[in-house]
Amino acid sequence: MSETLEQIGELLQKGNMPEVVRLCGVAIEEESSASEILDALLGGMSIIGGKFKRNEVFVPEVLIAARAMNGGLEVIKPLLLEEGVESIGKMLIGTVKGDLHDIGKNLVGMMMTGAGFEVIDLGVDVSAEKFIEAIEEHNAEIICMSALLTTTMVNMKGIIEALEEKGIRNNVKVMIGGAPITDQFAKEIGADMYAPDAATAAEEAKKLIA
Amino acid sequence: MNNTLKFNLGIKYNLETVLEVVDCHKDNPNYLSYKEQLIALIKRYEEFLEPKGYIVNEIVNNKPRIHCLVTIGGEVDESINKCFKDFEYFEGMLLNALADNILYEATNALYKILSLEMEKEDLYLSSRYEPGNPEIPMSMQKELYDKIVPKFDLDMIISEGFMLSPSKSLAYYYETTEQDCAYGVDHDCSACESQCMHRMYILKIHKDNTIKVIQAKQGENLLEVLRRHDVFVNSPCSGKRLCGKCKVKVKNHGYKLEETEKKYLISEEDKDIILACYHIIDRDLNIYISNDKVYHKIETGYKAFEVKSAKYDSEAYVKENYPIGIGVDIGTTTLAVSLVNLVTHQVIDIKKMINPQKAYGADVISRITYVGENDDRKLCMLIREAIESMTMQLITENNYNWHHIEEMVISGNTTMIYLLLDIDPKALAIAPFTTIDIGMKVCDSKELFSEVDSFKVTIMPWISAYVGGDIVSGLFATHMIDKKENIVFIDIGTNGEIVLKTKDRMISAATAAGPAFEGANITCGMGSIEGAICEIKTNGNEYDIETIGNTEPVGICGSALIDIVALMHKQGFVDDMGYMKEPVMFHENIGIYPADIRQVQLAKAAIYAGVEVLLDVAKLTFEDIDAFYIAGGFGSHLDVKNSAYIGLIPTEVIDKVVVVGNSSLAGSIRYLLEKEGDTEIKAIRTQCEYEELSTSMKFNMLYVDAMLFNT
Repeated sequence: MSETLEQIGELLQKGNMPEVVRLCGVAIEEESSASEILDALLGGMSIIGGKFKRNEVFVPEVLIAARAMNGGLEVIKPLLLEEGVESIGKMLIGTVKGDLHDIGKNLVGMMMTGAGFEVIDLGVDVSAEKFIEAIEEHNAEIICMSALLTTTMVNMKGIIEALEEKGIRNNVKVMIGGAPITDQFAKEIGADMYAPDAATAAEEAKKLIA
Repeated sequence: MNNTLKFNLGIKYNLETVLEVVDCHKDNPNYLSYKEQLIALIKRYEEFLEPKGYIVNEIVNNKPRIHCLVTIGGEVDESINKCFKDFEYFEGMLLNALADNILYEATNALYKILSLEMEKEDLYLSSRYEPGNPEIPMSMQKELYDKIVPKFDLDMIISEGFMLSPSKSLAYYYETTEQDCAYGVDHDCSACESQCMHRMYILKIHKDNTIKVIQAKQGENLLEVLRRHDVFVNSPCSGKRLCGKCKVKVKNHGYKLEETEKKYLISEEDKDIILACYHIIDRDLNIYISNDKVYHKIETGYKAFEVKSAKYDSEAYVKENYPIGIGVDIGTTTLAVSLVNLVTHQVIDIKKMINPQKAYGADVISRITYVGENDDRKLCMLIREAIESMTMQLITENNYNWHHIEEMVISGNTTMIYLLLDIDPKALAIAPFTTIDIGMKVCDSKELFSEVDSFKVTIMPWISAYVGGDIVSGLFATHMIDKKENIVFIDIGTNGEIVLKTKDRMISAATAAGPAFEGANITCGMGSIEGAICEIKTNGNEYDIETIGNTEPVGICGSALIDIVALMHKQGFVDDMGYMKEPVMFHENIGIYPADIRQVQLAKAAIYAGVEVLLDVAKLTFEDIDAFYIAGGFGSHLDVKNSAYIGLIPTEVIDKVVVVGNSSLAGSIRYLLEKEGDTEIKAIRTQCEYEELSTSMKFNMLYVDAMLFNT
C-alpha cells in the first residue's frame, strides 16, 4: 500500500476529515485506483469498528471517523462509478413505526457504510408500507430494523409478516437490533439475524450476503 | 387553576447528561473539547431550543386530570437532519441529545409549577402517565393530541404510528389525589421494563421515623447520590474504596458484596450493611440512617490566653445591651463556633459539629479534587450553611438575636477558607502551591450568609497554601510573637503544620501527615467518640482496654493508636523497620493491622522530620528547644512518653510539652477581644517565613530515617 493510502487510513481513525479529503485527492493524482482508496477508507473504519467493540473508543470517535470516511467517499464517488466499482450490497435501515430512537440506528448505518454497503436510511417511525416501497425502489438485499421500546418491538413482526404477504420475504435478509431485542426474539419473529452492537452488525451483514 | 394554560419553560439542560447520552464520558481524553463543542452548539441554536408547555385541565372521574404537552419547535428536527446530511454526525447526535435533555428538563420545570398550583387546592399530583409506559397504550398519544393541539391551534401533526412532529415533543397527563401517594415522584420508572439509560430508581431514606424519598439515575454511585441529597455518610477517603467507613444499612438490598468490601464488614453488627462507595444504583432501595453519635463529644478545650488591651470598653455599653461576637474555627474535620461576650470577655457557649464537607473526603486534597471534578459550589454552600445554622442555634439558645452580633472572626486552613469564600482551590493542590493574597479579609455577613443581619466578618489571613489562618490564629492565641525562647509549635491534624519561633525568627512548614491520627486509613480507626478505645494495658497475652463512654469497643481513636503502636513495638510484634507479621486483635474484630503500622510510620515521620528541618534552618538542635507546643484536639489526649517512643516527637522535649488544644478557635476569640489584634496578626504574617518541605532534599532524607522505630 502506498504511503498516502496508509496515511488516509490513519488520519481517518483520528477523524481528521480535511486531511483525509485532501489525501484522497493526492492519492488520485498518484494514480491509485478508486477501489484502492476505498479499501484504505474502509480499512481505517474497520479498525475503528474493532476498537469500538473492545471499548477502546466510544461513540463520538466513531462518529468523527465516519465523518472523515464520508468526506473521502465523496471525493472518490465519481471515480468509483467510472471504474464500475460496486458496493458489496444495498441495505435499508430504519427505526420501526411508533419509535423515534435513532442514535443506535445511525451508528449501525455508519458501520454498514464503513463495511462497504450502500445504506439507504429511511429514518424513524417507519411503517411496513414504507419499507416495502423502498425495497422495490432500491432493489435492496438487506433490511435493518431498530426498535428501542418493548411496545414497538412487536412492530418488527408486523413488518416481516407484511413482507411475506407481498411475497418478497425471500428476496431480502432481515436484521434487527435495539436495546430490548434478543436473539430469541429474532428467531421467534423469523428475522435472519440479530446483532447486539453496531460493529457486530456490520460483520454479520457481510456474512449474510457472502 | 385555569383550564387551559401556556408556559414558557425556559432552556435548562445538564451538559454532563447530554454528553453521557452520546457516550462521552469524563475519562475520555477529548472530553473537554467535546464539551466545548456542545457549548458552542447551544449558543448557535439557542433561538430554536425554547421549550413551551401547554396544559388542559379537565375533570375525569370527579377529579382534575391535567393533560400536558411540552414541545420544542420543528426547526431543531430540520437542523439535526441537516447535520446528518452534511456528515456532521457527531454534531447531529449532540444536538439531538441536547434537545431531548432540554425537553426533559422542561417537563421537570412544568411538574414543579403544577405541584405548586395543586398545593393551593390541597391536591397532589400522581406520577406521570405517559403513552408508551406499560399500562398506557400508544393510542393515548392521539387522545392527548386531540385534547390539547386544537385548543392552542398548534402547528403539530401526529402520524399513524402515533408519533408527534415536531419530534421533540412529549404528551402525558397527571391524575390528582388528596393524598401524596407518589411522594413527589414525577417520573416513576418502576413499572417500565426498558433498560433505558434514563432509568430512575427510588431510594427511601428512613430516619427518625420519617421517610424521605429521593430519585437516582441508573448507574450513579450510591455514596454520591446520598451526598447530593445531603444524607450524611461518613467517608474519609471520599469514595476511593480505601477506608471502609461509608457504611449504610440497606434492608434486603440483594447486592453481591465484593471481596474487598467484605473485609470491612466483619462484625455481627454489619448485617444488612453495605459500603456506599462500592455500589451503583440499579434497584430501588430502603436505606436506614441511624442518629449518628459523631455529632457529640467533640473536644472543645483550648488553653486560655490573656488579652493585652480590651477592644470593647465596658463603659460605652449599657449592661443589658452587651454586644456579642462569634469566633469560628473551620477545621478539616470539625467546625467549632463560639459565642463571646465582648465586654465581659466571657465565652458564653461553644458548639461543635463534624464539618459537613467531610462527606466529600477526609483531607483537603480530596475536597479540592471534588471541586475540580464537579465544578459546583456544593462545599462552599455546605460550610456557609453550617456556620449560619450553628450561630443561629447559639444565639437562640442563649437568648440573643442577630442584631446583638457585633462581629465574627473566622479562622481555618487555607483550603477551608478558599472553599468558604468560593475561590477556586485547584492551585492549592498543584506545585508550586501558589495562593492569592487577600490579606486580612473583611467583609459583610450578608456576603456569606443568607438570612442574617449585617455585621463585620474578619477572615484570618494565611501564610501559604498549607500554613493557613488556623496556624496564624494559633500563633496569635499563644502570643508567640512576644516569646524570646526557642519554641516549636505543631498542630497535628489532617495536615501537620510546624512553626519554629526563635529569638528573632519565625519559620513555618507543613507536612502531609495524613489523617491516620484522626482515624482515617486505619483499619479500625475512628474519631474520639463513644466506643473508641482510648486506653490499653497488657499483662502477658491479655489486653485490658478502656473505651470512651465505657461501651463495647467499636474502634481505635488517634491518641490510643500511638499507645498501641508503642506497645506492639515493645512486645516485639512490630520490628524497628515497622514490619508486622500479622494483625493483633484486642477485642473480637477490633485490632491493629500491618498496614496501620505503615500509616502511622508515614504520619509520625513527616512531623518529626519537619521539626528537624526547621531546627536545621535556624541552626539549632533538639536540646535547644525550650518549649514544645502541641495544638489540635488530638494533641490534648496524647501520651507524651509514647509519642516520643514511637518517634512522633523528639525524646528531648518530653518534659517541655505544652498542650494548647484548639488554638485556632482560641485565636479567633482573642481577636474578637483584642484592641491591637490587626497589628499583631500583620506582624506574624510579615515575620513568619515559609519553608517548602515537599521539594527539600534534606527533608526527604530525614523523613526516611524518621520512619524507623529505634529507641
